[in-house]
Amino acid sequence: MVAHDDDRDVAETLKAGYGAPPPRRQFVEQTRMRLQQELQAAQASRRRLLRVWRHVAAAAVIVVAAGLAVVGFRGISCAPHETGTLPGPQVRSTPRQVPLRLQLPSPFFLCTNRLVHLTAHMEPYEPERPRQPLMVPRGTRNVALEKPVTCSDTVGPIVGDVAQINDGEKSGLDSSYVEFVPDGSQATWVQIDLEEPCAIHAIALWHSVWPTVFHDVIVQVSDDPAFRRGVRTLFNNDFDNSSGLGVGRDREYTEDYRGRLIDAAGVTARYVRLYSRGCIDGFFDRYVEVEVHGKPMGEATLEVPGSVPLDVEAPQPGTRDGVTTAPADFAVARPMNTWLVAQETRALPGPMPRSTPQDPRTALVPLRIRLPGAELIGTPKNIKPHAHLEKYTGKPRPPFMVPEGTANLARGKPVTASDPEPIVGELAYVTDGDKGSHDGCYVELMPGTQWIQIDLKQPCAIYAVLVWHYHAEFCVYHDVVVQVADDPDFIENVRTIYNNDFDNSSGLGVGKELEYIEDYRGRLIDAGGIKARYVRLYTKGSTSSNLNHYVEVEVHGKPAPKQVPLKTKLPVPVMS
Amino acid sequence: MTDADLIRAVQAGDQAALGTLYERYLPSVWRYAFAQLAGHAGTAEDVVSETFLAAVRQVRRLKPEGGSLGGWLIGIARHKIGDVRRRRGRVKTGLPPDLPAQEDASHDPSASLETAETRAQVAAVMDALPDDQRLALEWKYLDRLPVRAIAHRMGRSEKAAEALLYRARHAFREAFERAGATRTQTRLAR
Repeated sequence: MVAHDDDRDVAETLKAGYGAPPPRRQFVEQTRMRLQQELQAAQASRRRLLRVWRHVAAAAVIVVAAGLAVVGFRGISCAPHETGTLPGPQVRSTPRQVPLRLQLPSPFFLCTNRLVHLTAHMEPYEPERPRQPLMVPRGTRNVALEKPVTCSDTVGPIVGDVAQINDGEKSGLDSSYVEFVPDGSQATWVQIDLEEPCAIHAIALWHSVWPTVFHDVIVQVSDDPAFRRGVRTLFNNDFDNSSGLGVGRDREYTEDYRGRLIDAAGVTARYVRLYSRGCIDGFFDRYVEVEVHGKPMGEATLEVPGSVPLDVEAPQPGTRDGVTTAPADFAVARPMNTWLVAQETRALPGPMPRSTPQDPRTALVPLRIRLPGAELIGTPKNIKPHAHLEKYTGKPRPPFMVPEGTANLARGKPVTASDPEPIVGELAYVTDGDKGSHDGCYVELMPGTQWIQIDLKQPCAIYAVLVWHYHAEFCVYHDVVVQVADDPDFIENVRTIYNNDFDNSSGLGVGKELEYIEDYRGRLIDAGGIKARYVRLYTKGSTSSNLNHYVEVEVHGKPAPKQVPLKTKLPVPVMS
Repeated sequence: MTDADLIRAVQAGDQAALGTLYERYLPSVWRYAFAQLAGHAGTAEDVVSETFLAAVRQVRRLKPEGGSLGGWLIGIARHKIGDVRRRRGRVKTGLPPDLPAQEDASHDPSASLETAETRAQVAAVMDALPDDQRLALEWKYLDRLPVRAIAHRMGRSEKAAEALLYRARHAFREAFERAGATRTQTRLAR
């Protein structure tokens, strides 16, 4: 009877406090349809990926052959079916009458902070430098708007519809772009039929919502829908001719909200074809919008010179937006908040040596740490203070002194885990240098005590271990244990350098360190110059969920000097 | 069909299984988002939609026997809500904005505040419960499923489901009372 009363009490409390009106019928059905489409797309994508793998060998051969061709036959500039290459981009069109009016999307949607490799074939990214107005005949307009579009990918796009390429919507939101995952054997193209021959003065091209670099961007025009005759190339940055359409003289460029403006110099054609071959972020091709500015041939003969207001290109990048270029040998290009690097660097001065180098004569320098964006600020809530929880403070971390020459040895090193197939993300994210907490930056492991392990590839003197768990919400990860060892199975010479498992619930021993609240600064663990090759980190869920998350782990140290066998000259026995 | 069977079928591209999964967990994810977002139905719809889309994209990596499907979905929803809060600033707790305003003279603002506080309190308590306990409570008391159906969904025996419900009720009551005591103490301190 008592159980029945209790039962009713809980039921009433739940109904009053946790009940919700049913979701809208329309929303439920729309979401159901989207899920079905998503599942279909996922299955199609898997099939395509399998095909890509089959073509990898063939593609490798093509790339090597193309490279040899570039080295050996510099004189070849275009494929046999081309009739010539027009001047590069951003050159003024003739006749110069009025500036081209381009409506730009909001930079907020099209630009986030980003680190992009600067290669020899890439032009520098200069967001502050306004684009020179392109002069075009009066009456020039976007003649591609809502005209028929076809594409080379017979399977069709995995996101969006080809009609979105020229629908006038270039916000970069989900509904405004189309994405293909080609099989990798050749460049993907999309083609716009202007429905009549037009004098084309400019082509404006927006590939992506992200600041990225697309490869083999080629723009051609022709009067032949099959592009077999009368093909003219307006833009080509395929510097190694990997797409087989000729060596491009134009340079690769960084996408942003301004798109790419290509001078077509009044060329006459009915069809416009645009190629690309994946980007630095993966093997997919994407188009947000393509505009073809020109006039139908009938109108082109009736041009009347005149003047119109100035170019309306305007929105400037916000302070949070920007692209940083890095040398070509920089390890991995990944999104990151560059301004925070400076912030951490500012906080460094002030001597506070903590790490203990093996050799006391070694000079100490502050450890330089690149911090991600502070995704949450304020006071942590819903975390009950207890004796084993460190008091949270938002103050900057004091500088941590390490021997000169100390570097992050974990960057790009192989990661293994007790859960080899994470629920979300990939294990490689742990050492990829990206410390953001958004999707694509963290790996999620199954509930219970789980570990990840980094192989430094050689014995190293480790001075500091930095670990970022999921830090987009304030939470406390339980049983944070960090161990090092010389063998991958952690059987011999295992040393624990951090353990806050105060109740030994993970069975690795009672930890003396305190639990702590995660934030963007991560946890810095003093390793005191300990020598080891493998680093293993444990957790057992958090105050938010019983799942385990890792955003990034850095192991700062120096390769340990190899031990040279001691050669000792034995004394020659003296015979007396 | 148990959760493990559902995961396997969806991983194989079975559209019907996807529909079953969606219908089974839509109420839980919806209630969770609605409660955590203080009744902002529009935002809750975005979160629910993004949660299921992310789940479909990631389902291939999910182990059928590895854990609670509901817990996994709620975990995704939790992250999506975190993203929403970051994008739009903290969603203020308080009266649900979708409820019609009460303008009659009998309307008691303090009672509305009390209701809002209770809702926030229950939401916090439910969020803190282990996934299987939270789901069991929801299915039993809000979706009115019989214990046998709950047991079948979770791949447990009826006895085990009953034991789980007992533990869930106990944990809920204890956490709720503790939260209520804390609130009273805070008020008294004021």
